Amino acid sequence: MLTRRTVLGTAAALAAPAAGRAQPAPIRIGEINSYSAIPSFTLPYRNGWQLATEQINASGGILGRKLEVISRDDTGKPQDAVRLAGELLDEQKVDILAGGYLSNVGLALSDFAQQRKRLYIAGEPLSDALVWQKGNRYCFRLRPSTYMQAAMLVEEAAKLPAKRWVSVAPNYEYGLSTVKWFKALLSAKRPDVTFVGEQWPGLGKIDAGATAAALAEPKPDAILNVTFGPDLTNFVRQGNTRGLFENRSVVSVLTGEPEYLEPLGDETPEGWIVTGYPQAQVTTPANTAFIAAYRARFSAVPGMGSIVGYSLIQSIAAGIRRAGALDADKLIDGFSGVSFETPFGPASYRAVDHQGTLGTFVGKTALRDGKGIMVDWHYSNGAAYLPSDQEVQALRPSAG
Amino acid sequence: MSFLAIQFLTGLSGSVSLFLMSAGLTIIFGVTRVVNFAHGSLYMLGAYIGWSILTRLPHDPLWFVGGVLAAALATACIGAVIETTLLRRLYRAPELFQLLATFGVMLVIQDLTLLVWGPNDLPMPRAPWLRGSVTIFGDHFPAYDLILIAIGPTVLAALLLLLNRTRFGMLIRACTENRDLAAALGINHRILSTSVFALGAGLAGLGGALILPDSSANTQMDLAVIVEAFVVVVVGGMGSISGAFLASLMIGELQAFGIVLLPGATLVLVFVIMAAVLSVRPRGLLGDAPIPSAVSATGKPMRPVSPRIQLFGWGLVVLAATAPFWLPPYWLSVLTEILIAAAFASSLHLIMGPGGMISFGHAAWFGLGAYGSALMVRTLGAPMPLALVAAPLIAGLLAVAFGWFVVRLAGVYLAMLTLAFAQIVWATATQWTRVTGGDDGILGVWPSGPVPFFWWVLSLSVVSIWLLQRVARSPFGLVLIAARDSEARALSVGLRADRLRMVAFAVSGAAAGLAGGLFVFATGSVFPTYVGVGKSVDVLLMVLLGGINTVIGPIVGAFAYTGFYDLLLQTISMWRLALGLTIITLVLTFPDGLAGGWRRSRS
Amino acid sequence: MTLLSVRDLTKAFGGNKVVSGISFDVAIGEIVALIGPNGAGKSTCFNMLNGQIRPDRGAILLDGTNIVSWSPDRICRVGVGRGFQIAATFGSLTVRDNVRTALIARQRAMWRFFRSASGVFTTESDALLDRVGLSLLADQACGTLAYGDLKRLELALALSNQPRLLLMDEPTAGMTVADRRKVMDLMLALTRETHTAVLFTEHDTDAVFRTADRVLVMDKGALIAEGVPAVIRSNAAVQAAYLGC
Ligand SMILES: Nc1ncnc2c1ncn2[C@@H]1O[C@H](COP(=O)(O)OP(=O)(O)OP(=O)(O)O)[C@@H](O)[C@H]1O
Ligand SMILES: [Mg+2]
Repeated sequence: MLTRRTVLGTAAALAAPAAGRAQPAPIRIGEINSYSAIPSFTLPYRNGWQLATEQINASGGILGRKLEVISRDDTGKPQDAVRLAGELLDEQKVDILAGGYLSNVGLALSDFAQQRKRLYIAGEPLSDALVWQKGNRYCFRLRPSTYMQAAMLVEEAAKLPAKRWVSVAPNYEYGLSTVKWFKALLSAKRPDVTFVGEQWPGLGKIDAGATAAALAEPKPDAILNVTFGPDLTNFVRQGNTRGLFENRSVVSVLTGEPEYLEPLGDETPEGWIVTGYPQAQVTTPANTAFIAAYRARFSAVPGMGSIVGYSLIQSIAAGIRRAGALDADKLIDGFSGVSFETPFGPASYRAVDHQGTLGTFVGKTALRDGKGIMVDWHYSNGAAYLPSDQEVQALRPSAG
Repeated sequence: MSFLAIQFLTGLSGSVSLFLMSAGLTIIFGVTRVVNFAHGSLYMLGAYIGWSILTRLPHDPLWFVGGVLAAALATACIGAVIETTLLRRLYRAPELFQLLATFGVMLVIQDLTLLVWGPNDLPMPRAPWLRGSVTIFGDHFPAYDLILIAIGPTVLAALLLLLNRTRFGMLIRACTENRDLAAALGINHRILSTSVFALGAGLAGLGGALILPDSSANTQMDLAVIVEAFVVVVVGGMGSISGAFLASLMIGELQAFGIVLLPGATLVLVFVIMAAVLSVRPRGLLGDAPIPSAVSATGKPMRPVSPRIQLFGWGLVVLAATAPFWLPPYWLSVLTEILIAAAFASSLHLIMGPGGMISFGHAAWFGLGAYGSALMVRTLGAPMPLALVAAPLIAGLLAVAFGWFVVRLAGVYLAMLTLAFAQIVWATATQWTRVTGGDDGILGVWPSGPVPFFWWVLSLSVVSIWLLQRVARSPFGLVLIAARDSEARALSVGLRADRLRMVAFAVSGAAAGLAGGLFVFATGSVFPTYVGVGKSVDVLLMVLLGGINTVIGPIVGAFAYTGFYDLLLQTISMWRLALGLTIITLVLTFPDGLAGGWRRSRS
Repeated sequence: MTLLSVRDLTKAFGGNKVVSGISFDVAIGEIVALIGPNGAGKSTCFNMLNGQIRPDRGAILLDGTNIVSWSPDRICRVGVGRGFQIAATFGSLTVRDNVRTALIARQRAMWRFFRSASGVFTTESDALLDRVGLSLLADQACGTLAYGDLKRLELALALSNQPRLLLMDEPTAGMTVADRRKVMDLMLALTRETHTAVLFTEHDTDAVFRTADRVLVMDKGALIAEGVPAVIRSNAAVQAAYLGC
């Protein structure tokens, strides 16, 4: 694992040619994420933002200045994130805050950014509240929210014949809100659907056998799964052995992301409808180039985290370029509506709620050579899965 | 009917790794009195080592058995190394000081695991025979789970045989029941401790390796199990293996059926069970061994604070008051946090030091104060000063109500009941979304400006700490210490020990609530993490690190711990390794705590 | 005048009857010895009398009030002092603070949170320490005392509430012969002065016969003899119990 010193070292090395000459100081991004708490996502993510930073600097930087990312570990706790954000602003004099994985860390940073009147660009946090109920003008968010992911999956789920649904989701905000939206959106499209059971295992503490049996008990036609990571592995294994998934449709959030699909290995259940990232199967020039560059730099295949880290920095660069200056009001204008390139294709930050239109891939799981992959996938552009501007404005009471 | 049977069997199989974990924990506790925080790490190591071995072996059952045993053996060796290089040096330190050391070990193992095995979850590919199922009442039931169900009682029987039929077992029982007597009989405690620690570690490793067919080896599994294992040990009765077995069965079954009846209650179920069991049976189901007091009256008198140190302290306070004029804003925020931590730690010190009650759940009061004041501001529109009055009141009142249950217990049982209560508060904060905002918390609770707020924090923390110290030296503090030293004697001179403790609990809870209220305005928000186990452990570490035997211990501990932590977090990515090694070094160098160590080196 | 009246007191631990239906009285100012071989149930009796253990059956009347099921602190407050077989003191406090604690308890002064403990009852503490001969050791940590001094301190603690009845479980156990005598005489002197009744146990039979007004003999949980020392000394049953033949 890279230590922070080496990361900074790379940044310093890149900035080195500038040393002797009177080159302007770099633009500094203060990045915060749960590196120690959620390493399986955040380490590929770190690679992603490193790659983007290097590419941007290699092509001349932004506004004639280099980009420097200073990174901190929030340990999964919002209170640490807030303190470190203060350190980044006051000590490191960063121009923009970015990062976050957990929703509450994202919300805490967003609130802190508003308090200090500085920009915060959230990468991964999925909570709807980040741009809606608790949205504010200083906060932008890259990834499709729980609402959007639910909407994308509901589109497919509504086509299923299934009428009796059960859900299993981790017992915290992300799980609760995904299930809530999925139910609401699916019921709107399919009034004949009923939800006949739900399970809420503690995050990282799933009692998979008991949960699988309890889900099977009401004899559902279909299952909504929101668990991920170690919980998902346990759940899939117990479900496979107990025949939970036989003759049932399963709709599953995030399961197609390499970080979560890979550990399932040859036990990947086939035919689940999932959101995710089919990696090299996506042969658009943008993605192919990204994978090649990533492989060359890290000798690894990128995961979803890599996409988020990479796109986050690209979006920030685009926003700053468009703003042409670094003071908060100009930046907000610059970021609102800015388009940027990502391995998934072009995306933008909506002016109405600062939500990114980056989409995700929706497809089915399948087994090839003992590994889980996504098949029959298509790219769902985030812009198409958001409520109308009016509805959104009503949801954003606190944003100026 | 078939569903009930299946769920019953599932509960049985789910209890096995819990039993293996807690059996190890309970034996170690019995003989060495070490509350082993690193036990979850040993379990995790068992899984990772098992993964490394099993993925290289042929996939048939015999090799599987061999591989699992090899993983258990390797973990046992690691346990022996931890015991001989670290814990052995600490048996003479105040009890529970070892807890600090094992916490350091846990941090170190977390980063080492990441270094050796990488960040990704490591699932062991299941051989076909591990995927099979048998049909029970027309439903599929995993064949491997049946094997697990058989392993539980087998290990129990083996352990009971070991304990009751061998000389080694007899020595273990002798030491568990009466350490001093055992020592007087010439039992070699060193060898026994090492082998018992290795045995316990091996059991944890076995538990870890055995879950591989069901789940991956991952970096979060240590923390996921450790608290539950403690619950099992306590519910079963500390030191009792049969108790651990019974309790793990009970918890396994209650989980299996609980999630059917109350799917939303997964977060609190075990803690509610523990609180219920302890209210009825204060020593757990089968615990009859004498309750070891967690903070024993070491016979060492509370050290008074010398006038010079007092003067020095007031000097620092005056200096701190000028800090906004010369300290950069970030460091001012660090100082703010340290001051709050010092007030928080001092509140815990009152019940741990003079009160002799160890708390694993002190974050409950901190969190109640935090939520109380945040809600005052957000829902009633109260100004900050009013919210800061409410914080200690709310926390203090609930501490009175809860103290009533707690003071009837002692030692680690008491500690675990406080943990149960903190977890119930935590779960409420997480799930009562309408009021608390759930995981997303309550945001936007900022003070009017960072500098005036710093003065608020400085004055309230100092006043709170000063009052707590006065209370510790008052007639009340004196009789509280007396009741800690000898409950029987206190009662027979007419003191109601339980009432004294309850009042101490309330005072301490109120002071912690004030710290929580201040913390809300320092971070602008409140989240369930403020009530989490991590927060309770942090403050416990501060008090232990500083030293229990003096009222300045918690202040020194808060400065050292918070300062280190903040500094490490912003400088190196392997902060857990660094913090863990620092803690271990400090523990070995200053077995009386930092404040105690400093004094000793002067005299 | 009867002060303490015990009726049919019974206690079993897990089916094992340790005290079985004993009855006796203690008069005001009377010195009564309760003797018996090891394991006879004497300490268990004491523990029931001051409320540490709840009896299974029976009555304990103090001045006619049944104090069964009262808590030890309440029993203390109606004038019963207690010494333990293994000296129970406040180990981490100084000798003076030990006594101070007892005096604070007696004066119900423990709910004072903000004044310094070192300023309360200092003279009273020193006076009490003087009476048991510990003045010189007042500032010493109690954990460092010799066992004889610890027992003296315990006596001071037991006397701190100016009891009408003093219960002393082996007040001289674990002491040198010379020390024993001194402590025993001290106890008698202090209680005679105040006309305090004493119920004590003692394995040193000489001391018992020398000091007690009356002797109760227990064996295997039952009271087997009762009377003035001279009678007990020659009682065959007592000899049998003690000599085990
Ligand atoms: N808490 C208890 N649980 C079970 N048995 C007990 C308990 N307390 C005492 N006993 C038993 O009751 C019997 C009487 O004990 P007790 O201490 O009252 O005797 P004693 O007359 O004071 O003896 P000694 O002269 O040795 O002090 C003993 O056999 C003892 O083992
Ligand atoms: Mg006795």
